[in-house]
Amino acid sequence: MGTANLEGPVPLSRRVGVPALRNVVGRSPALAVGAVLLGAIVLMAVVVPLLDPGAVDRLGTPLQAPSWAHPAGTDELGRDVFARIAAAGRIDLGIAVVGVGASFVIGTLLGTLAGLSARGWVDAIFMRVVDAFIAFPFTILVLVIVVVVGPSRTFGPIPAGLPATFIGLVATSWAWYARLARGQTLALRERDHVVASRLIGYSTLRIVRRQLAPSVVRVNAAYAVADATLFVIATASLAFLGAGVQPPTPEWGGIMFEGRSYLQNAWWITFLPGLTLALTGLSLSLITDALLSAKAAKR
Amino acid sequence: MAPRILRRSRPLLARAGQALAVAFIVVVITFLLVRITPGDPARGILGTRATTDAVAALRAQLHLNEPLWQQFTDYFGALLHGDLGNSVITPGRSVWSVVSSSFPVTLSVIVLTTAIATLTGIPIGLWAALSRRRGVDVGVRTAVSVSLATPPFLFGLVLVFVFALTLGVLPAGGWPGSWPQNFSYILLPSVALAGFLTPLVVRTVRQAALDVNDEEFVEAALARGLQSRTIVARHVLPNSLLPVVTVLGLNFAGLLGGAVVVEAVFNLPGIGTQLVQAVQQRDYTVIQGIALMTALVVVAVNLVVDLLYAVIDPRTRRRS
Amino acid sequence: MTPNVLSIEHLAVDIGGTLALADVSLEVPRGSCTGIVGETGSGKTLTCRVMTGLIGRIGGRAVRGRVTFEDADLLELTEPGWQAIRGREIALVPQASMAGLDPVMRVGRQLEETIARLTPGLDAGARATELLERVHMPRPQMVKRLYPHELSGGMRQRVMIALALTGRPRLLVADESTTALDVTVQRGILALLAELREETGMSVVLVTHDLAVVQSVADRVAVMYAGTVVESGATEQVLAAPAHPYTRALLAARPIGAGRTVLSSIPGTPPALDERPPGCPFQPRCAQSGGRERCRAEEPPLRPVAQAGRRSACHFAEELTR
Repeated sequence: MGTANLEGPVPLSRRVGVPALRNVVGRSPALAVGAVLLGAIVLMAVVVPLLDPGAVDRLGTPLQAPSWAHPAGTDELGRDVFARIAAAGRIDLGIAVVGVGASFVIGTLLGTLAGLSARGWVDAIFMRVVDAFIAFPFTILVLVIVVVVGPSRTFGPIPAGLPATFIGLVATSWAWYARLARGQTLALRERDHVVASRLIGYSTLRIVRRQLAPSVVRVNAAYAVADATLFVIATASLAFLGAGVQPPTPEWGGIMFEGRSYLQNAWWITFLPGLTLALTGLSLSLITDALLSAKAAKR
Repeated sequence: MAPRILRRSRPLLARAGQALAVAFIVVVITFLLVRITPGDPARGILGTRATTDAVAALRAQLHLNEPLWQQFTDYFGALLHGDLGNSVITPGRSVWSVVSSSFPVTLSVIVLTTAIATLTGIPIGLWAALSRRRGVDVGVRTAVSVSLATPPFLFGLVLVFVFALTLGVLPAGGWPGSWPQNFSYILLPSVALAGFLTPLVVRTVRQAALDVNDEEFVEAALARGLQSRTIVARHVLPNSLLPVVTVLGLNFAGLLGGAVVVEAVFNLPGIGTQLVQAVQQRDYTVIQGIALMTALVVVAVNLVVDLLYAVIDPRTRRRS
Repeated sequence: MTPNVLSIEHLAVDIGGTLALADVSLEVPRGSCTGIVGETGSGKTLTCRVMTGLIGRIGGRAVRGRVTFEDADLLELTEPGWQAIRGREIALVPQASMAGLDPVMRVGRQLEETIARLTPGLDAGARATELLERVHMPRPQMVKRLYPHELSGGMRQRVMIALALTGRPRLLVADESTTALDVTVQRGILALLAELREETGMSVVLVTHDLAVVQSVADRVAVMYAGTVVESGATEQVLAAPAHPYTRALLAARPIGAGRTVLSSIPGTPPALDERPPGCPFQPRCAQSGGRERCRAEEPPLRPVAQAGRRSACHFAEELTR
């Protein structure tokens, strides 16, 4: 009989839906490139400041073109741009990870709760609130929150401007996760296996944990990776506008802003952090695309 | 006759009602945001050196001593009269005049950006979906990824470097204030902002065209003897345009936010520059006014998009 | 004039490395209604695609055999050649699901578009109304202004037939034209097809999975399984005394009348495209074969059996028709 053997045991990896690493890399070179690129940037951000911690603020000969001594040149105060780019990486990537994480948790939780709620009006009001938050243009809302929190406010060892940026970004992003989670929850709630579980008498907590959570988390996680790109770009934009992370703390957008006045003679101050920014964004979006098409293909 | 019209427009009225609710919540959020400042807003404006009397006077002027709900009713009442308050820093200027003088600049950039994005994005998206040549689709998808990874302000800086500083063909920034000279001043900013919108349009059109192409009716049309050319122009294209409307609507808010940053790069006197200035000066009323107006515009645009969709897609129009 | 308007000989079609059609042979006599019966995946729709030259779109290519329409070899045709055939000589009536028509264009406009393309010079609007009347569409002027989703399934099917008639084709290929419809509507459509055949003398190929449909309108029938034609012949003869175990099993599986008999079904499933066993494709599920060596090793050719004009692809067809 030529048909597949349906009675035999299904291997674990296929059951859980985790493709073998080899398969993933082989099938999607984009994913491999993205991951490698991101890895390199993370490595740079983590390792380089450790090698020479003082280089970030050390003054020297200003406006030197890239050379062996200074791979990215020096800025208007003679600081090594490469060291600053690497240090800035910690901040930008750090915000992306922590910020996305916070938005993810808050948004997904609230969205799932809204989706589960038995009372229609709770859900309706919640959705209007979500819509309202989403209506504010990202940058504008963050600016308002930055003003409210105070851009020069520090929080212990965390540099000036970072708390404001963090709060601003999370406040604008949680709504998207909430919307996604609610949509998923609503759709899944009516599926036969969930209804059946309810009828059997499983507690809501158990249903959420075993039947809703995996799907919801998976969808939101995919969005989170794309969101990380936005976070990095937004952090840089805010610093560029002077409302985000404040100097002298290095931040890609901030460095670009400082270098702007010297654009014609010292292009490297602005464009090399910009390149790093773009490459980070690119690697994240390659990973997102690869994950999305893997999901689509599997379905 | 009348009941029939009412029945048909019921879903649209519901949507308009929802939009109103969202608008109200926007007002509430804007109101609350500014008032949850840790510390005293009046002191924040005047600085630590101000005298207690000056601070007290400012507090009275801003009605900060009243209970919160009363402040809100005052605020909302003024709003309904179109009064957004006056600038705290320059008391003679009304917030409304700040907003209305700067919004047209931002608007012209956004309009041009949308035009560029649709006029270039749609053909590219169609090409990527329908071309049989091997490298085209991959090439376009790569370009889309790269574009999306480049923030508008970086793209703007690159454009300034290339076209303004190196080649000198376009201005690096500023604003002459009258048409048609204005056009060359919004060209680069719009292209920079389009770098964010065009790839989204391309991606949407490409996906839509691919989906449409797979649809049975395309195959059925071919089987009837219609030519590919005709089918693409009269059937694939219109069906691919619907999602473009959606994506433009979804990203309008992002477009506004991007415009803010682009204005900073090119020194355009639009809403963004006003906002950044207000942020630096702690001009609370102006900040509040701008945030409110932009959010309301977004809500309005989303409503228009919904209504537009009802017009364009006959499936949503009537229910058989 | 050849007796057959269309004839397919030993056609094999490959799609992306797997053989989607293994060995298809059938003839469509001029003016007849020939039914093609089979389960999902047996290759019936693909065969329709071959008749309209649309296998290239899904990556298929013919690797063996001949397809002759009148005097032309369809497999040799290039795109310009197909432009002259599609709609004008051979017309397809696709399954009338919602997706058969452009959802954002009014039905009348879609008709007029095809009319303008196939019969330029005619008054498109008048011709559209005429065609709708031909397929017994009530209130054609009103229907023309409707969108596809506003029509019922039966009305949509009539529109599809009207579209197919536009070019006055010689051969009409109806792919599952009655599948999504309920029985009364089905009867109406089949009656319409019979009437059109009589009026115009065109030949019809009717693809379906429903034996009852074949029995009521088709003069001849070809039974397909796993990409192969396993039996063909005059409908009456084939259905009264099948010469292939699969046909016999299909007939036995029909829920007939008022009996309290247990519903029989054919155990197992058809093989996947890339997992065809050697020998007869039906052998694993064949009650008649009983696992005989010849069935498992040697693929049976379609050969004449029993009465004239009948063929069967079974080594032991004689055992059935005894």
